[in-house]
Amino acid sequence: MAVVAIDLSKCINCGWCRRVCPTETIKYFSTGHRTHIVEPDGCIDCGICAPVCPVDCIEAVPGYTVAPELLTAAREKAKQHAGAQRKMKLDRDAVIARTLEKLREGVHAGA
Amino acid sequence: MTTFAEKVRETPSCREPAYRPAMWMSDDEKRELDRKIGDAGLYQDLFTMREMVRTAPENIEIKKALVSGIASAEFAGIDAFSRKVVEWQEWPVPQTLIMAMARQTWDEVRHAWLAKGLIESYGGEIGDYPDTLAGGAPPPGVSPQGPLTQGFGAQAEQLMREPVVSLSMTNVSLEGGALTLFQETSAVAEKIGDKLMAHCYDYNWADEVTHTAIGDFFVKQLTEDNPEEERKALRVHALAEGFRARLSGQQSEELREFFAEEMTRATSALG
Repeated sequence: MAVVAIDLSKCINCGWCRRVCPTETIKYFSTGHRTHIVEPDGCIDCGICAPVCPVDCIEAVPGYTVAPELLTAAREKAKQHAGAQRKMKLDRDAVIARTLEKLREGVHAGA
Repeated sequence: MTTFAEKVRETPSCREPAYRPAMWMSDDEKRELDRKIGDAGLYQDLFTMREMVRTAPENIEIKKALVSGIASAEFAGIDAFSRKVVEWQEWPVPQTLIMAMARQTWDEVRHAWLAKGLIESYGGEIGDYPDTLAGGAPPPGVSPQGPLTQGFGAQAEQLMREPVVSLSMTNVSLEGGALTLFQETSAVAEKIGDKLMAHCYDYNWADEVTHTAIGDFFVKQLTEDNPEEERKALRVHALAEGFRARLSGQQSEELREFFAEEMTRATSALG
């Protein structure tokens, strides 16, 4: 188990890591400063944030141990996040399917 | 005597073909969009449009609509950044920031050029689709700063001219957010075998990383040892992100808390 940390000397504050973090444990607006910071106790070591960082400034902090109850809470949050993402995808897929169906039937073209 | 910056401020944006923002589409234009892409309402949502391209890669109109939507923001970028090159010469900012804005203008020109070429490769042209919410100059009498300040009056317009505000909102927040759109669009294009589209958006993506870095660097420099200015930068970043979150239906807990805190500050300021 590892958690991650952000090298602030390289970070450009694009916020991509924060937007993809399933536990919302990467903070920016609540830091009071323009800095992206990982709250390690919310990290579930999912490995999603590091690959999206365009300047490779997210690194593993090996050896950090998250207390079991915090880890359970973070995993629960991630599960809820995944559920919300899945629902959004299904909703979007339904809109797309309806739209493409309309196009196929030529409803709007008056065919 | 009128300064060059004042003249530029008074000069409306223009493009050939002229801007035609989607939010002022006529019923006939909406019907035409319905006919071409299935639902005019989807046109503002570039993420859904991109997923439509993934689902129906053979539909050339949907591809044209997606690229036109993104191109709109590139043209708006040329307009916005080139104005800053002139207007910011009247602000106490380093000359290197002015040069960075000139570089960004040129980058946006290349992006618009690439988008134009991509649309033409699909047999279309700029102007086939209306300009999206993200870009385009509004009709006469409407704020030239775009939808983020429309309806908020002269004070909001003035605020958007401030380098710290503009850099934080445009470079850091909007361009930082666009990284996701470009990378994912390039990946979709790769997946459906559209090498040209993949290449174009990969290229744009790299420039957006630089623009975000430029914005962040100068916001840091301009707000150093000035907590009020730093807070202002954070506030406009939150506003831009909140705007985007409302469009996508996603708003983080942290952003909600930030706005709640801002409301508390505003309430205390009122006594």
